[in-house]
Amino acid sequence: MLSQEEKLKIKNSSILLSFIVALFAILVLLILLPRGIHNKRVVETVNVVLEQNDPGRYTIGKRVFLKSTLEESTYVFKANDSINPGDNYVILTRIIGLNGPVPVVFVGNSRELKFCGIAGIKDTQQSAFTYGLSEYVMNFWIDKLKTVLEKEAK
Amino acid sequence: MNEKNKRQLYIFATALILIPAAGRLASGIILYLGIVFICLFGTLLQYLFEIFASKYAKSIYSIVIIIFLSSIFNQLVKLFSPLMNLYTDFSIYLVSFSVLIIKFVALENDETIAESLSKKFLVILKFTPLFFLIFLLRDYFGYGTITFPGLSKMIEIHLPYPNMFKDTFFYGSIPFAVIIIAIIMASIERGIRLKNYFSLKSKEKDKK
Repeated sequence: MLSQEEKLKIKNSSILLSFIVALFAILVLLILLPRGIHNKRVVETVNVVLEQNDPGRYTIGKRVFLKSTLEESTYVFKANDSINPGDNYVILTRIIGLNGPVPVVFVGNSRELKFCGIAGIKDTQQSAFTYGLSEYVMNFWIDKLKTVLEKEAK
Repeated sequence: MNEKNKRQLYIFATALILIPAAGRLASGIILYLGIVFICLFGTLLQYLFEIFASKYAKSIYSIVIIIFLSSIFNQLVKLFSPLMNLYTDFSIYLVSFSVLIIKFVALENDETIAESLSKKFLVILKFTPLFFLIFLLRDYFGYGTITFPGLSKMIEIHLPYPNMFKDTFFYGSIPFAVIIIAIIMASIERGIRLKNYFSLKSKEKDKK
């Protein structure tokens, strides 16, 4: 038989555990439920960059979910290119340069990937250099994303 | 070290931890909302946990609360604006483990929630001008703009921008952010010393 004190301790511990489970459930719901709105906003962000740099050339298709740790900060979409039809992608990713984190849009495929513009600003065609992204950093990320796209194609 | 000096130290330490964040006022506004969110809900949750948990587990459940609240805030930002989440992502975790939050999420003994919240928000109010000044200066010197958060695009206001700042990334970079913070902190220290000096002099005059 449990004493009063022990019963109270068990009751308090189970209440505490339920608080932690509730916090965890809120977090899981916030991750799983709002995917539709979230995707729509990402597509709007990317469309602004594409319309300023190559108006009318690219149409964004379905989202591709990556099987790598980059999934947390990278959004990959299939794209139709009116000039070079084939397997093409539009990628919005966060690159950390000398000025801190910058969201950048790349277009292309696993053979040829190029920098399109910086997301979120009025003049998205501003050079990446003024945002602290040197040639070395851009080439590193282009190679990394090409590898990821190759894996996805397989 | 008295309470006033300690609070000053916490404010400066928190300002330093903001250096790796993106140098746009828009990301600063999001981080500020994060601080207010974690302080407010952290205090309420801390009060709830204290009723049911042992005193000795306080440091454990404080950290658990801070981790959950910063992740929930991060997800809320991602939901409303994926763009702003790309600018501020890991910086929210830097803020949540700053001295300001860890020291001030904890309730003092025998305080009610209202007393505790009003004390904390007074400290946050003192911290607010420094916080926004740093991000405003970084935004202006780096890009010549003032930015506000938006859903799929930041709201940018372009200001007159001298040519010497254009075509280089140095004025938006992290080393320049360190310089800005150092100049502001040195000016605040100098201002406080001058104030103390003049108040001492006026007390001596009154005595004579």
